[in-house]
Amino acid sequence: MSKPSSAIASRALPWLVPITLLVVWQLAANLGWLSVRVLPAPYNIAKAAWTLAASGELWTHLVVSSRRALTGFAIGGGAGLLLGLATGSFRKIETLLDTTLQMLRNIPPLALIPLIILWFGIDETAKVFLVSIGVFFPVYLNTFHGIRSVDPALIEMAKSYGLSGWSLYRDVILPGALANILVGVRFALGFMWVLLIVAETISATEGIGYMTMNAREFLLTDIVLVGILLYALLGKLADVAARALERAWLRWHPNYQPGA
Amino acid sequence: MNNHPNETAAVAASTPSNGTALHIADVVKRYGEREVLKQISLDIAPGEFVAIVGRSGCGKSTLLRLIAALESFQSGVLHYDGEASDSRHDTRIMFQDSRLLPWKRVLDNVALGLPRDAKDNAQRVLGEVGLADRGREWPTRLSGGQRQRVALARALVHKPRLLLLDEPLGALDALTRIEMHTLIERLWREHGFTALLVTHDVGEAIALADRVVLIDEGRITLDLRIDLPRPRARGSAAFAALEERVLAEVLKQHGGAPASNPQEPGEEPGDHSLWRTVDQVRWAV
Repeated sequence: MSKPSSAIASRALPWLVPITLLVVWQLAANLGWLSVRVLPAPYNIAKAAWTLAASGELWTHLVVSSRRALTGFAIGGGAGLLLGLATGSFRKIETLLDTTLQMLRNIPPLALIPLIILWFGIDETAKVFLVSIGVFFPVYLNTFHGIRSVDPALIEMAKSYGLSGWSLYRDVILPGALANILVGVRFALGFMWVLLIVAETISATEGIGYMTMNAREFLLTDIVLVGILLYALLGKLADVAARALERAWLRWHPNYQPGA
Repeated sequence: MNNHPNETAAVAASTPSNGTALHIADVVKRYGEREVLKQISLDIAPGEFVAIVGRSGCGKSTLLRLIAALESFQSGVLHYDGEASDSRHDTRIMFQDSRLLPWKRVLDNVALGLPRDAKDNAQRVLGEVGLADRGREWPTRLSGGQRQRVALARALVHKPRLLLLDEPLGALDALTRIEMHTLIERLWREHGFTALLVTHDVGEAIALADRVVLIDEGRITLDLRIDLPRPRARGSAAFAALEERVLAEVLKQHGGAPASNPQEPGEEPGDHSLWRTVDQVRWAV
């Protein structure tokens, strides 16, 4: 392996296919193979995005959508983490709650939409609630599983070295469960955007979902595509953030060490 | 203290406070119906190094875990310095696997369970096991032998008066084992704690211990004092004779080989055919 050139090549390789697609797409639009109604050219989409950004409209929608997503994630993920820690750590709480939660888990969150609309109407609460419900279960299940799969040999060692209560939890149980918890967080972040899209498509007066639905009514396909690409970008961003957390918190893990 | 009252007194006088005196009498341990330890009685003097040998499943590790209070027993007496429980918590155990916390750096592993201001202490003990410059490493980056040295430092930093070693060298290669023997012996002499080593390697037991205790099917079947001068040369005739004798005892109980009269320590190892048996068996036990 010759070092610098092959390193650049391996970095560029994943981008080869998307860039080729983009070029072909643009060419097809220019040559008139694609109707602008059906699929505008990448250049037109970029121009639409630029116009929206310049007018400030894009940022308003982006901020509103992100706030909904993150509020829902904080509520649902936080509850999932706390309940997962509780059921994972205490058998009594597990016996009390786990069966109920496992039953609820089998209800797809999207099936709750009619009920949510009846309960909360169609304002902000409904959207945040839907996101919270959706992110709760991945975080809850993985936290519970993470706590349960901490190596009992390590716990035995720590106890015989005088650790108990909070210090045992902080030094052994939580770090041992962390890898699993972060898997749950990554799942939840992906799911968070899916639910938000649905919630915003149903009804909204602000947000990326509103922007795309509104553009659909006026047949502005380029803005619809800006919205879709924005969701893709935000999803990717959330994943990058989750990976960064993994790299920071799981530095000790051989899988996350450079050159390992 | 029935077995060696005089020696107990003598050793206790030379190292007054660094080691725990263990008194075990008629200890019975059952898992369900199965009796794993059948009325074990053993007295260990403060500062003494005792090795427990035996085949796998003979109950030797169980005995160690009872002493470490990791398991309970059904009947019998277990006293630390005459008390029914290790009230000062100065017993530490080293396991077969190092059981280092992979998410803590080496130094933080050594300092586990210490107050926050004890980092200097941890660093000093890490130096004693020859890893002073590895404190910032992650445990996964260390070799098996290094990990066990960190585990040893983690045990010693608490200044234990009783150190329990549960086959800590079982997974290491032969050269590393010999290095670890030297290290453990040196630290034991410097710190003066009581040491109890469970091993299946008779050679290791004889190299390190003042006394070798053989457990077979839950009973103590041999309690042999090793009077060889330290440091012990494994090649010496006396060493070989002792090794042969313990192994012959192990074999006798299982009919694995004819019980050719066990030789007294100090005698030349005679029969060459027995030697080969002994050599093969050493890794099977």
